Amino acid sequence: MIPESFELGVCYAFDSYCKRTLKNEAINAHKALNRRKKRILNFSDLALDEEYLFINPDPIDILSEYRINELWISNELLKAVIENLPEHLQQIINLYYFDGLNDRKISEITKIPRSTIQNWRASALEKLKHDLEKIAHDCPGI
Amino acid sequence: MTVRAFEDDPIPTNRLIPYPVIICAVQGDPTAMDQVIVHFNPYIAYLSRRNARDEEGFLIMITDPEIEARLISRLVRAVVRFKIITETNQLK
Repeated sequence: MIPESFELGVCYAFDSYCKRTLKNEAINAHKALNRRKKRILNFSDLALDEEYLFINPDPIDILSEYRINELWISNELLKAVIENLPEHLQQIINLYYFDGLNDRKISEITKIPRSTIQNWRASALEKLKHDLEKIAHDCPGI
Repeated sequence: MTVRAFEDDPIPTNRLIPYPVIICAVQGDPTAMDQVIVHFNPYIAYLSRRNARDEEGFLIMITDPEIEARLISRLVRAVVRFKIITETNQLK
């Protein structure tokens, strides 16, 4: 027969084990959240009502514009610039920022090495930035 | 080494999960697992609080549902991995 003290010991061990695991995971979650907030905002992280703003078909609607780095970037403009990219970069941008996958998962899907995905994503962002700045410089009214 | 005398302590049933529930939860019983999750719910809610601003610009603490879901899934994975070492287990 198992003595009661043993059972109680298991209860205590289980309790502290669960608490420790939860605490560590919470630390990880908060760190990941802060890291992501500092650097980048994914479309997949937006709340449902925010995401709705991007698919709003009305171009006059002022809510469909997002202020990024002191530039007003409208929904239409962003779409046009993304469509201007080469096809492979477009696919990466869509998978990473709109579907919320990470580099490793994209490489599993597309059978392309992970480091290549990373390079492509960086160059796609660079191109997007360049294009958007060019447009904003040419016609600041948009 | 001093061994803590559990027999003398009043059994704190209000803050510990009972032994049979732990055994069932470790073997993957869904009802027992629910009981474990319910038991840790206040702690999970406490851990998943983060700062946010309300409409008037005041800093408030809210529970983030994303972190909450992540913690619950981690708890379930951890419970299944918990090993109970008895004397017969140790000999192997």
